[in-house]
Amino acid sequence: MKPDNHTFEDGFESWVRTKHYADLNADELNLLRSEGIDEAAYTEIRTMLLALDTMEEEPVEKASDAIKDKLLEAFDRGPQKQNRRGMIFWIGGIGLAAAAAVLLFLYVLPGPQQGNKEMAIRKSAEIPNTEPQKYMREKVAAETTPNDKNQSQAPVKVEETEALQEDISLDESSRVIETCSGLPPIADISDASVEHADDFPAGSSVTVTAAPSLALMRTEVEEVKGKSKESKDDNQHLTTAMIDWLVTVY
Amino acid sequence: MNKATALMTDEELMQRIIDRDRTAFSILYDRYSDRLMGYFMKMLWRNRELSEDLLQELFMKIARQPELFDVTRSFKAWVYTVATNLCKMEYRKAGRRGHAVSLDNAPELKAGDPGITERIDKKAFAAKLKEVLQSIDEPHKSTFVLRYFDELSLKEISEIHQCSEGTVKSRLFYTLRKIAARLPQFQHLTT
Repeated sequence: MKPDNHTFEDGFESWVRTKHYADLNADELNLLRSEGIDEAAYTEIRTMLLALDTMEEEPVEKASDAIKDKLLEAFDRGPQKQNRRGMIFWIGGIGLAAAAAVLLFLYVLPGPQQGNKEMAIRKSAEIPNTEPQKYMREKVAAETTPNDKNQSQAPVKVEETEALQEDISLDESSRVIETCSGLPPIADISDASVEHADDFPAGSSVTVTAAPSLALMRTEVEEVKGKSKESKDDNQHLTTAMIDWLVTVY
Repeated sequence: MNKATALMTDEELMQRIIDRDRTAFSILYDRYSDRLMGYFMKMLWRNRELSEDLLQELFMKIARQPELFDVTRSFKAWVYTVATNLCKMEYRKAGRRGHAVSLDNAPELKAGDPGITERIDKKAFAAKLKEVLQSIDEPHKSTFVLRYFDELSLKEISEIHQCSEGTVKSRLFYTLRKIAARLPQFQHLTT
């Protein structure tokens, strides 16, 4: 025993086994203190180490021979096969996921143009049937051909009048109605004139909306069509970019 | 079997395995399979089937990707690191499944039992120790088993657990005290 050369491995575990706490010298006590071990802890550790020494030799745990055979077989097959097969699965999986994403993008999700139309129809249905709207609907109807009037659901061709020369559908007409009127919901006071404003109690918020002119309506139609075209172009551009990317990857 | 190959160090054998030497693989398996099996058994609730599965998984890694081992390092420390990581994964799985730790059927021994002195023997202590070990958390248990069953050095254990030697020491002290406190019936072994 070399008290001045104690380390845990070459000394501590061995002299703990041979000495009671009372038999320890100053060096050994210092080492114990530096490890934060008091007499009680020392005794417990000593007990355990001695018990471990006297413990019956453990029976060897043997793995079955079949494991070794399997492992040698795997070793003979080599490392490459497994990796290659794994790579094929990965590439196939990624390809399928990409194809599914493209299909989803092209056929399932609504495009911006279609989305706008649906929104216009929905909002149009929500418009209260107030005088300005009635006026506008009648006005639009008056400008359509008499044959088309009865086909309420089918797209209606607008007669070539003034500057408007493009076809518009009923859906878009509805959108125009909504957009032109500005539509903060209008109180049914279409007959009210400025001089009748006193009829409302003080503090009331009264909005009087004049029916928009047909010229304004046409401008709106042009704008809507322009935006739809832009969205469509964006859509096509994005799809082309995705296809380019997939071609680059593979 | 080539005699020179049989005398090679673990690291030299691994280099041969990287070069696809079947004999080297067989020798390395024979050197480590029993002690790793024992380690898995102690760590994994004495579950033989699970231990064999993990042993196979570990050597399968060596067979398929031996280049994962850095031949400049100690193979023993590396292989026990892989084994310890496999055990940790099993602990996590067991935690998710709410696995009830199965303990050994060690004889229940109490200090006041009549004839206790006669009944307590080395075998009983070993069985009880394994039982107590199952209730100790993974890093402490693994440190204890590596040190006192597999006889690894503090340095090797610190490499396996990626911690300082000081931490290994304090874990050993803690585990020794904890086990001693749970096995008071074996106090007489030291007197």
